[in-house]
Amino acid sequence: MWVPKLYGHESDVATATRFVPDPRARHYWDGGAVLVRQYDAVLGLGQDAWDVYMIYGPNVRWDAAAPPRPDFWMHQLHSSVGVFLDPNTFAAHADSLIPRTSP
Amino acid sequence: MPNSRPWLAGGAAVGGLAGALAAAIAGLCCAGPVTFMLLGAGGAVAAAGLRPYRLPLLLLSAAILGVAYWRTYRGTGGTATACPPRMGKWIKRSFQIAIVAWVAAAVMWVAACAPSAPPGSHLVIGANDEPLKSTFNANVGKVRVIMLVAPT
Repeated sequence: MWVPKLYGHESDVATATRFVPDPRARHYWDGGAVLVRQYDAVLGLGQDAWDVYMIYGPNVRWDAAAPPRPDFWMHQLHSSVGVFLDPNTFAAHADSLIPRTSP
Repeated sequence: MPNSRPWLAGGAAVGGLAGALAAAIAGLCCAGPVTFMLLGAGGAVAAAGLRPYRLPLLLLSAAILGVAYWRTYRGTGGTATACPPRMGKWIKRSFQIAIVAWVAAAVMWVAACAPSAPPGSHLVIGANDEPLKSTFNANVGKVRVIMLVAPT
């Protein structure tokens, strides 16, 4: 989700998507900061939610108007809420949520 | 947004700092402490990784180097008369180093910004979240990661 921060505009998105070349990735532009505000409320940040990284387990559905609370999330904000992003920790949590099939 | 080539960004920052340092030496005598202050700040901010400000800082440092050139080569009739002769030679040498360092920083900045993969298409979120919501629910059974990041 590309959001209008750091003077970012929709015209910047095409270039930015090149830094996420994984074909499974889907890209969205939240020009109206709809999700920025919604995730502020969901996470209880008390500020615009951006530079935020969230993981949802396989069973989570999005049925309400607002997005569901993630199973795990980190950020790179000046905030006492949540945990500052550590890539290894984030990856470990994502890995732990992947369903394992027995051989 | 994560930088896929941090060594290039780091190189640009180091190049900026080197340019700032060399220009500062060049400017101490003739262009004055203002050159040192502005270029030093520019290099420091670039080194701090404030990517959105790197281009303005590069342009600012180019302008200041232009002033330094004028003061060094033109403003004193081709000689740095405000400085002792040995210092004037050193100032010109430092200015040349500053130019090389600035060009290196600019090239590395451009290289760091160059995309490394073809662009992906994107959908626009309007008044509601429907495009994301439908994709989210279509992938129930999988682990999903959502990142809210700036495209700059």
